[in-house]
Amino acid sequence: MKMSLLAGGFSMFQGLEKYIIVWIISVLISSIAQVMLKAEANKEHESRLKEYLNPMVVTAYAIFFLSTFLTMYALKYVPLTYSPIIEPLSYIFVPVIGVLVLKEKLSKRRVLGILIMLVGIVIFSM
Amino acid sequence: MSGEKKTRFVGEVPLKWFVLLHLSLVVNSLAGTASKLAGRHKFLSFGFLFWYFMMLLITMAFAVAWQQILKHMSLTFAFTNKPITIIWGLIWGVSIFRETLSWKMILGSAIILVGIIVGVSDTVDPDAKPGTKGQGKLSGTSRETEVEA
Repeated sequence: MKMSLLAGGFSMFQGLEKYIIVWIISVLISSIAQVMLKAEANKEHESRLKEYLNPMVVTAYAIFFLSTFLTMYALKYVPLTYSPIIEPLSYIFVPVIGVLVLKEKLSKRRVLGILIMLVGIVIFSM
Repeated sequence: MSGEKKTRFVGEVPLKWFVLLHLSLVVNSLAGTASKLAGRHKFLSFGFLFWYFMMLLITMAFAVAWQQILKHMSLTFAFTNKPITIIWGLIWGVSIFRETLSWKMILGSAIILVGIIVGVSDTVDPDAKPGTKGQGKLSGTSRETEVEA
């Protein structure tokens, strides 16, 4: 029931929008994976190998891998020209999730820097 | 500015790790180049698989470096530097793929650079930092969380 509702909601989006959303989800999950990497980097490990071979890092890379397929899938339908608008969402997602989950502090100055750079990315891709 | 013997910092990050961060970002931008080369070939053809494999290889090298780099800086700091890969991508695009350069790309790149410099340069003065050796791990992060503009 829930699934069909979800699918119904999903089909509301015609053509492009649906694949743009797939792309955005791809960017979102890889942003979450970035935060997972940092969360693990904050921990002490017995050995260098364990810095890589632990459930968190392995899962994060599995998510990145999945994300490349989601992006490729979306790119079959969405023109690559959308890339400079969708991919930079990670520069919003990562700091926001970073602040929420890792409790990193974002100074006003850094927020300003990120905003300036987003403007730059938009102009770059216009 | 700071004494010669002191570790120099960019933002809250020791210069050494700032340089390594940027080296890793150059590598990261090359992954984009490899996937672009893959995209030039027919899906699953030899050329495609070769460049896709190269992309994975470069990504893996980056991944190994990235996990070390993240130990020495906050994720927001690292990510504020990341858009430099767009400019590297532009450089590879123009030099390898003969892509045309528009004034918007140049202007955009300049603004991106300004954004990075502004976003990265917020810091407390280096003297306020605790010792610089072995600061990488948890202490590096907690130090970062105390930085407020």
